[in-house]
Amino acid sequence: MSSSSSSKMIELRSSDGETFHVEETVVLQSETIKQMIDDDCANAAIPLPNVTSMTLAKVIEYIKKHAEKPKDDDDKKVAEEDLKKFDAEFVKVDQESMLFDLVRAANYLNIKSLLDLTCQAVADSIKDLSVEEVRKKFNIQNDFTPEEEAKVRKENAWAFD
Amino acid sequence: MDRIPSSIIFDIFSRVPARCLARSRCVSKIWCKYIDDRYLTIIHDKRVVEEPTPILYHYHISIKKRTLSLCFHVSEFKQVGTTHLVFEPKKGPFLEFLRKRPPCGSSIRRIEAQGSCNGLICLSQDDGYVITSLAVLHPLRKEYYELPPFPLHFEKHMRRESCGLGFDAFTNTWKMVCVLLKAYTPPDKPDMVMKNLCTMVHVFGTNSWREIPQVSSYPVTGKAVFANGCLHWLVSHIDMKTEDGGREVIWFDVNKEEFGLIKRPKRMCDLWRNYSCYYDQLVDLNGEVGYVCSRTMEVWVLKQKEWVPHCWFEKYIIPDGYIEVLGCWNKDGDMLIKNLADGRYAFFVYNRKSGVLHNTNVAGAGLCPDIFMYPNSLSSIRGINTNSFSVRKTGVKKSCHNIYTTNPSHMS
Repeated sequence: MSSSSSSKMIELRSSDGETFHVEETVVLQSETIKQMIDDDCANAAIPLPNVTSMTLAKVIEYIKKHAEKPKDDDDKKVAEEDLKKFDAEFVKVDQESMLFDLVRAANYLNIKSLLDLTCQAVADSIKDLSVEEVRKKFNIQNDFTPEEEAKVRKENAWAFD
Repeated sequence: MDRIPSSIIFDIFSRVPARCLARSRCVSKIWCKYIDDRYLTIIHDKRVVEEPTPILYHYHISIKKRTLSLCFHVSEFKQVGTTHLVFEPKKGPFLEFLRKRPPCGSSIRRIEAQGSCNGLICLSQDDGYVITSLAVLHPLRKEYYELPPFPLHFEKHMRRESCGLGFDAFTNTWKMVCVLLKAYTPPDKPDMVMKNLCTMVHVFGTNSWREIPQVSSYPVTGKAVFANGCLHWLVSHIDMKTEDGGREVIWFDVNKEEFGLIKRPKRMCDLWRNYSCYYDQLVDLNGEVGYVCSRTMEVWVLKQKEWVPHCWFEKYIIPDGYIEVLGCWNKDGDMLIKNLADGRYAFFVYNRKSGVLHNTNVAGAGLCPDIFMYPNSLSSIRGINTNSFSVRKTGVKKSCHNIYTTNPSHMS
């Protein structure tokens, strides 16, 4: 499992005031928090005004899983497979807005692997959708007039095949 | 999505396939703006590796309208059973490249696809003897760019001359590079050949051609292949004879504007086809340069200026006649091959793993159908200058319905 139990605990506070205690070694995956710790600004609870408690809980679940270190080479392979499965499940969220919250949090906290994972998940979900489905799923207002839309559609006629 | 920083939106879009992005332009005005942004084009081309879309194109002559055009059709492979593939062009061209025929009926004009680079197809038009104009077409974005008038004569068949379209990733500019002979020179006078050889470059968006001091060490021939920042041509086989009949390759670095020479690949099999090395070809194999030897039916791929064997065709599966490898149709490196025998065209798909060649019935005879493996690139030439504009699809559905086979058959 993760590093020694003597690891220092860091306190994080979400935008809605909830606090989370995470081991320092785990939380170092966030470049933003690492910077704060390096600058000695992490003695009190770190406020994260851009991240809700729901999102932060998910992020912590992710970084905890990714902080686990395999014991030996055999274990490494299993762990890699396990991590892949975890990632695949992790981005299967009920609401598209949750995925965007995670993208934003990953960007704000500067966790590169989580940002890659969530951006890819959004891209994958766009891939198989029709224009109407994209608008619905991402709650996007169609601001084209019917004439404008017809024109844009015509420009890319074969993409609709 | 409105609270996502734009850098992240670009990151997300750079992971979406080009065809899907093209379709998504009409989601909203903001989406359209992001998708048309040049920055996205740059990061997208670096990230997404897509399987190419085969585009079938053929001539269409309308006597009534006095026009000659190239019609483009999106095509796809359909799996039949477990191993057989059938190649199906979609009905109705998605694009028609239309040219008015000259008023004089005797003057023949042809439009020919001379190769491609980053999703742009390079087209030439000739008057029967020399190439009169060059243009490029972006089929996914439906954009068109006509190059300024060419200052020199350019032989139509390009037996010892050629042009190539390249992209300079450092300056984000397209360049058309022509290697040609200023005057006819017999190949047995190499000094004179070198004197007459010249290189003309046109940078897209400018209004002129310029002659650069660098020239290749031999005349070049055939279609150019652009890969890894360089254009590649075969050396003209009559200007340089090698012991084993293989042909060296000339490369041109599009950014540095320098030429170089790559040795021919080393043959592994015995010669068994009675073809001249004239029929050897270079081909774009998923963004790498492929060399096809017409006498042994071996194919190599250029990796770090070294030839790596890609595949070879076994003797019994190769049909008679002239063979042209059109490119890879998937990421596994399986290839699409055009065969011309007895004046008839046939297309084949070659499975690298099994070594099996499948015949695939594509189009009717007489119309010279050709297939272009389109890499689905986002790159755009829109707004480079007044020579570039969008083309509109015209109602030609009826006029070229005769190229389809309604019931494609297959055999192995």
